[in-house]
Amino acid sequence: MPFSPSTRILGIAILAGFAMILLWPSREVQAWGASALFALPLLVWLLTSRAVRDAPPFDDRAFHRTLPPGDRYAFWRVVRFHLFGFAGIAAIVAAYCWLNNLGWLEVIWGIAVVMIPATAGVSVFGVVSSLSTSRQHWAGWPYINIMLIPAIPSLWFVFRIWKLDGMAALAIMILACSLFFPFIWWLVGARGRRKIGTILGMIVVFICPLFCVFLQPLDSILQKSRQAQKQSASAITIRRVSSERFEGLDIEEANHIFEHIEVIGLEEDEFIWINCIFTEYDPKWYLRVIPNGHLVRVNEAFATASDGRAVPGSESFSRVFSREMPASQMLQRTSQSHSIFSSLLYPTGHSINRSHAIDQQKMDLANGYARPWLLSGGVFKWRKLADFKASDGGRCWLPHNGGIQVMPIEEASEKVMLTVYVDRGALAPSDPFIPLESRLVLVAVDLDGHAMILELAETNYAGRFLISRVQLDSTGGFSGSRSDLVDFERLRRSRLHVFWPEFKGIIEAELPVPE
Amino acid sequence: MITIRDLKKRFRGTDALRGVDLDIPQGKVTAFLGPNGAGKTTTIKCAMNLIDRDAGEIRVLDTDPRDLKPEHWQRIGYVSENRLMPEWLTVPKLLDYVRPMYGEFWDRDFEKKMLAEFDLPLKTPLRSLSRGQRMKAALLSSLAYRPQLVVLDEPFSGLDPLVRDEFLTGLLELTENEGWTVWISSHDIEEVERFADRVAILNSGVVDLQEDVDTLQDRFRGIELVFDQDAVVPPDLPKDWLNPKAAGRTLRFSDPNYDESRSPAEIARVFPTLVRHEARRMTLREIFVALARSYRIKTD
Repeated sequence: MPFSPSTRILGIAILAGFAMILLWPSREVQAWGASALFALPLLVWLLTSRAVRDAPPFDDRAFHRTLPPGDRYAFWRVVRFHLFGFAGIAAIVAAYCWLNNLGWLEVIWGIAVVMIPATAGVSVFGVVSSLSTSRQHWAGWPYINIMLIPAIPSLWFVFRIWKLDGMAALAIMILACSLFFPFIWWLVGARGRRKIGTILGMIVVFICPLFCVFLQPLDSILQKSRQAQKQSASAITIRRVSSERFEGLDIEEANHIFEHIEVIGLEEDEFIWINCIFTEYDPKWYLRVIPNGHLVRVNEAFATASDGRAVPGSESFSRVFSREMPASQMLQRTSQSHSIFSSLLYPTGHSINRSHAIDQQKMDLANGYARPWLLSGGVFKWRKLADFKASDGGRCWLPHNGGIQVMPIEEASEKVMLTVYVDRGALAPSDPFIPLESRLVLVAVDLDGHAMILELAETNYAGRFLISRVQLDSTGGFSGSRSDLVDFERLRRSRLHVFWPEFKGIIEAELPVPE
Repeated sequence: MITIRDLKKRFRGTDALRGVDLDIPQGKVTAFLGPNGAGKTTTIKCAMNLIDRDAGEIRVLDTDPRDLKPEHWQRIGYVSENRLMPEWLTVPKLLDYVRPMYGEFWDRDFEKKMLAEFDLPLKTPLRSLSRGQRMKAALLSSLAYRPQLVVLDEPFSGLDPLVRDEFLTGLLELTENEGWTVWISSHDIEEVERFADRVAILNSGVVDLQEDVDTLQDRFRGIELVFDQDAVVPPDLPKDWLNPKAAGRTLRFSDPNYDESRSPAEIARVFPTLVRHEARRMTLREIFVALARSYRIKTD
């Protein structure tokens, strides 16, 4: 049976809407679309219902049922119709990944993320719609069973009895439905198999929650497999070089720990980001040193090779900067006289990590110094990604995966606003040593050659965007008075240089107490 | 061509068919008659595998309908008044859609001939056609491949008399020339009478009679008796005499087993005061009405 125009239009509209949400070059539209995606199950239900009703498998008045191809042909036409839709969605996902510098892994993952719920939804709706086209059997119980039972008591069963994470359980159940219900639909789609399909459908909805339990360990297996992909930066060696004892240092001074280690093997422009843990784990002591789990914040810092010596903070950055762009000289000479710039500027030698977020609690490093240190972190290399006019903004790709979009710099009431989006595939190698927002470095160089590092003051994790994308919305809010407007104009005319530390590998070292 | 034995079907606790036995012989036109709700459409739908049967045996083209294959359906033409057509299609699009399903069986010349005779608009979707035009489109799509077995469930609904006449004439020609087997359910008994070879009458889920139209008309007579005085229906009337009714000095009834050599004497015995009697050959319609009325009386 050919599909009715309304069914075709609905299918095309869903595809077009999906394409618009993913491919429209406006984040507002994408955000709106992401919210509208909640309506997708309803649209899928509507589409499937309409497609099935165009050739109802059990309606004794259906035109196609006395044609030579019979019920099964009609069923395959409906399935084929959906497969075309899925192919369109897959193409849109692939186009999206291509446009956003995401790899094949993201394409496959993105397609799976969209397809699995869509397959589950289409199949479940297909089963119910097929059954509902019968005029001679009251299929109320199957509907209630297939549609409602998974949503209420089964999930309750899973959550309460096995105490599973709700989203994980739901995801696994969707996966189970996407595997089982196409088969059940195939059974139900032709008259000779309807009875067994209906019975199986009713049984499966009871079984599905059990898959949540049995497949739960799968998640940890996937995590391990992803961690195993991390490459090791084995060429780096770290040693403790000082026997000086710390006494009564506060947390601000914790960065000085890097003065007591030596990093060997770093290449030009490379630096390490290290979390330092004092080993020989003593819970009582540990709790004192690392309050509220702030370990990463407390001990994180930049360091780079400097005659075999680790150099903390933005000194490392400025070294890289000086090699890569002439504006570095300006950075050295930038004075405090440029009022608005002064608030944007990191004086050289100032650490660019987030000291304001560090817990100010005193800690006793002397005790820690007497113990072996376990360093873990990553090796990174500075890369300049692009430069463009601050007034225009621009877009550039991240190495290997994702991209950065810098919006045009703008003035909003008393502030200078710069919004930066960092788009990363969710399957990009996870290198958690540096918080994502700490990586991006923007340097503005004005027409006179003055350079300044723009601090991204606020960061918002925008979450996953449908197909395995991590979107980071980093907004810089810079205070400035009315009198500084002229300086804003200068900033607006400057060029923005975008730097990004490319992850090279993990590093782990256990440093014994010096003798 | 079609054999049905002890077919039973229940709908939500109600017996729709209570053991239908029916034969649709090859090369003949069998009219399937019966009052509303007798189970004609249910019987046809069971035979076309459109609904499940509860009991009984059906053979269509010597095959159980549940096992009918595409090659069987290529020899069956089915048209029903309440069939859900793809109403968004135009007639040419409908034909374009179904034509490939019949391969070499599809007769383009016959299609064109019927298309011309039916005078169907070619650019209008089916939904915008009249009921009769939609029925013509359904007939066209179901007959253009010259099926050996034609099953028509109330096919004349909405057809204007001229088209109905043309269609029936054409169908009659095809039946005679090509040996089509036609099973037609209809309320339009006059039309059916023109070309039906056989008739099967269904009543309350059971086939009450099935035989050749000629034989049926040979044995059915409408009897009219005239008396000197007002006529009275005697209580001991033979049970097979149907619907006796007295009006003034006249008494009428239908005799389903009239025999010229025996029946006049029997009538004279039952009605000794009879002045004269007349035995008139009944039309199929009159036979059907007489039977239907008698069913109602039995039910009451």
